[in-house]
Amino acid sequence: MYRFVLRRLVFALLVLWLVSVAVFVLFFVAPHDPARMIAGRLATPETVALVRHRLGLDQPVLEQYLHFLGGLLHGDLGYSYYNSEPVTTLIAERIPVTLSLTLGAAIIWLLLGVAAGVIAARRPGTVLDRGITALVLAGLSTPPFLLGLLFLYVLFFRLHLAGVDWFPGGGYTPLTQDPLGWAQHLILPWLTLAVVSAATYARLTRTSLLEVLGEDYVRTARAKGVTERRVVYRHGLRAALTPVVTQLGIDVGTLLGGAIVTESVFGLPGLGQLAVQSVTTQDLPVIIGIVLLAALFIVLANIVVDAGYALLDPRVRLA
Amino acid sequence: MSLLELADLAVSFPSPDGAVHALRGVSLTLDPGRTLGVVGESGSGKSTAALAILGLNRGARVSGRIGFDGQDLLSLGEDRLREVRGSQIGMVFQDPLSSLHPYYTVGRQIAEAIRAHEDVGAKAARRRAADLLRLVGIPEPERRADDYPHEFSGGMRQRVMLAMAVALRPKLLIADEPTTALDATVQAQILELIMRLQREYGMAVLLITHDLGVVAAVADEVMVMYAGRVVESADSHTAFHRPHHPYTLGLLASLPGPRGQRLRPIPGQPPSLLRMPDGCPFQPRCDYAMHQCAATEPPLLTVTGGPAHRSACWLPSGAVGRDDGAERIRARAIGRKAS
Repeated sequence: MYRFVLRRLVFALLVLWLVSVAVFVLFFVAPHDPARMIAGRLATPETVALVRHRLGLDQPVLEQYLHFLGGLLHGDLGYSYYNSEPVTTLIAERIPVTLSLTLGAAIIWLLLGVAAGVIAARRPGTVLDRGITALVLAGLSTPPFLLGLLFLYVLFFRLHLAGVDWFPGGGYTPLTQDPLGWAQHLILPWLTLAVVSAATYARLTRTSLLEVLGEDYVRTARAKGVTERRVVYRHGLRAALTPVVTQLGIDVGTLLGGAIVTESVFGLPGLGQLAVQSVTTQDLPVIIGIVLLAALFIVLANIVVDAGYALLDPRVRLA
Repeated sequence: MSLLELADLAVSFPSPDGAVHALRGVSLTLDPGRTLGVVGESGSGKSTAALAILGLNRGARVSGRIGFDGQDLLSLGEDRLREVRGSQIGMVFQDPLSSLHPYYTVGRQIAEAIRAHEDVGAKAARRRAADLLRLVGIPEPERRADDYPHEFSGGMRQRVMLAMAVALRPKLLIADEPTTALDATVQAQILELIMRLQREYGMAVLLITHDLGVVAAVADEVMVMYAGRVVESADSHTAFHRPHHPYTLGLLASLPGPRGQRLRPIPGQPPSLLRMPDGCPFQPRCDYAMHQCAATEPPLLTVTGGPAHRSACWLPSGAVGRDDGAERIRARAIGRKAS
């Protein structure tokens, strides 16, 4: 187990390094000039050169990279080109927002999706199953931005006009400051993210459970006289959840890098919003920071998924 | 009084192409402590019959009567039937690897079977699981109870399945191809184990197999199935020495002989259970087919082979056995010269 984790961590570092190189190279290949943008359109060439020098952009690319790498090893991602704050500070401020959004949504979609999947799989072909399948299709084909806007229109705007202010129209309150306000601000974003994913999870759970319920060992459990409830949950669902856990790891890992659309619609100051901002302003240090963090989350999620896989299935030995 | 009595049992599965008639009116009786061997090719309905007894054919339409120990299992509700499963009727399946849950230790799976029917604590159930593992001949049962199925060999896994099936001393053990997935050397050990458990517990055994050799070794009575029907039933000795139905003859002829004789496989394939041909379902593959065979399906009637010897064939009832005399009667019946 320890060897497995160690090996995977070394591998993860390699991946992260490759990602950092790729982002760095892309940035220099792209046709743009941050110094000119910062200095403004009316700046003299001297001013632009000065800005460029201050940002270190006049040094050879390799030197810039080594400088960046040196900082990275000390946990220093440099300073934002724009508000001169350390990138780590900028990112650290936004992690709680994205974390709250992602984990809350994951809990909702997991509960909804798995429950719907189990209900459908226990009665395949019935009206209930077909109804769930139809809902799944609807959920899968609704883009999150549309759903988010719909929620805002109905549950914020219309309710607000009616004099009811249950849900705020956007923004974020830290959990430590005001737990109720935190939940109030997040409930619509959570639902927005959860609906689409719940559909995926319902379909995944249904397919997987149906397959497992056809397995020989489920027949054995029935032949033993085990109650149908126990057959479905102990024997069926436990085995059926393996692909669900895999999917969950990947989804959470991806979303932790920033739920761009949902954060934008609800004006949540999370990593996704920061990513969009830094890309529009060509803020290289911030972009690299976010991309590295997103990659880190995905790599970690994969390690967690593999370890969880071994916990779920005794046949899997980590080596 | 017989322990198990199937009467006119029919099982069909709905499919997009129409109903698949897996069983078409099967009747059998099995007395306590006896062994009935059910033989037939894949798709003959052997396993369907076994699963139907426990009500485990999912999505099937079942009719007829399944008498077991004085009650009709078909008319029992799901809860009452669940009480019979595992406690009064134990079952083992063909592939012990896929039949055991890969995520749970074997001790836990056996304990679960016990606790599904008896109000015993986890510890007591686990101790009994270890005792059962010892009973079926697994070395170091206390330790092995905590192992997972994939940590056992094929034969050991089938022993685990048997331990689970007999955990509550059932009156009937249904063994569905229990040795098919095993090595030849292990097959004999498992058969011996089944017979030993049967003796110790006084169980009746319904042994389903496509292997006539297995039946010859353990069965008191034999039932041959073809295309969802019983085509011949007799005591074991009669079935092997004085068979009446050409399909039974064909099965016997396709066994490896003692002196390196050539095997004589039965030509052709069993009919589709979706579209059964008119008349006898075996008639297209039968060496002795007559006009009558293509027109009407023969009923299961008593023949002169021995006590309770019945066969579903239009050949004269005296045409039993594999000898020249029987061959002459058959040849005369179909108007062919005996060779």
